[in-house]
Amino acid sequence: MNEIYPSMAGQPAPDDQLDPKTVSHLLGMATSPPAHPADALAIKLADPEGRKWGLQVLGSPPIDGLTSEDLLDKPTDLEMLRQLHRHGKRTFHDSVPGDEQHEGMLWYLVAIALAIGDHDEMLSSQPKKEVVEAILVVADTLPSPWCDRLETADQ
Amino acid sequence: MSKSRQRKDAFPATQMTWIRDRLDSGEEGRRDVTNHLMEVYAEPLRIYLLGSSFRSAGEPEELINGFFANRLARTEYMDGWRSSDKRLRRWLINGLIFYIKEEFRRQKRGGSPLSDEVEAGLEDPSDQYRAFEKAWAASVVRRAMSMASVRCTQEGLEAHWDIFVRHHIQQQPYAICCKEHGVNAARAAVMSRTAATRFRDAVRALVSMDGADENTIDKEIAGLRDLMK
Repeated sequence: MNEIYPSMAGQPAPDDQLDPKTVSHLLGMATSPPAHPADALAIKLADPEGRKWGLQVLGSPPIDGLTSEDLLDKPTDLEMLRQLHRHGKRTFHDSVPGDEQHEGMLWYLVAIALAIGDHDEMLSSQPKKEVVEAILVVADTLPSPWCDRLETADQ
Repeated sequence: MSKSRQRKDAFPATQMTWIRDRLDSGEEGRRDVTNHLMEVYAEPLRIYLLGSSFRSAGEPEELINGFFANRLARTEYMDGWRSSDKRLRRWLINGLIFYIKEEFRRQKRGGSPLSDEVEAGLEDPSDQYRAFEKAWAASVVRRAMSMASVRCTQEGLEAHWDIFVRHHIQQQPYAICCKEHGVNAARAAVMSRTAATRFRDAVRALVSMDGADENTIDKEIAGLRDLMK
């Protein structure tokens, strides 16, 4: 492998770098379904309509007594986050692929992110590294302040 | 609304309608379609011609430019594709072959025909179709990279895109390509994953624009990958 890596910020690769193996690799990234449900959620949120949907969902947390302002104001109550985590997990597993399942995944990740960021508490039994990666993939597709709030899981 | 219907609506890559809509929206729309065709199909068509007996019929670039200018000036040409079951790339290559033969007959009538030897060699080089398909796959990837790059820039994700390119094209380890952006390797992997979703959308949109529907896009992409082996 080369030792010198020229910057290609924002630029497509020159044609001569797209050998058949690279083309195949890149095409492989475009096949569905995405390997991880968080990627599927991120793909949905990356679309303008999907983002609108996501913000609508985030505007109405499904737990009694929990508002979106509560989620955005640090620290969010840990018990509320536990309830939100359970709700997200249950919704994700009980629904068929589609918006409802995406919604479950979104709440699941939001709850875990805020519990880590606000309380240094891991709500999931999944490996922390993988869960944080999934949170960050979704955070990247959300505007502030949600993006900043979810990214606290990585700080 | 059914779940499957919801999923279809939420999926951004069902873009075959893009070409239809642009064609129906007047002159500006037709220009958009022409630009799209030149971006994604001109190079594969050139490669097809270079490897075929049609290379004797003239300079590939001139033939392709002439073909697009001639056919896209006719409303009915793309309407024909819309009412056919063919993939756009197959429609265009058939059209190009027909155009070249048409040009040949025109030259013959005009008194400056191709030689008998060249005429005899003008056959549909179906064996060259594989080379065309491979070139089209590369063209789709290049165009998708360009689209994803623009989208990442619009969304303030330039660093994400840069890391994606460095890792997936230049094959830099995340541990190296993260340094310039002041993030750790794990974060770089996540950023690349975000950029990859934009790239994925773009590839699927381009394959859809060629005529694949949501149920056949994966099969289509798998077929293109097989060609690259």
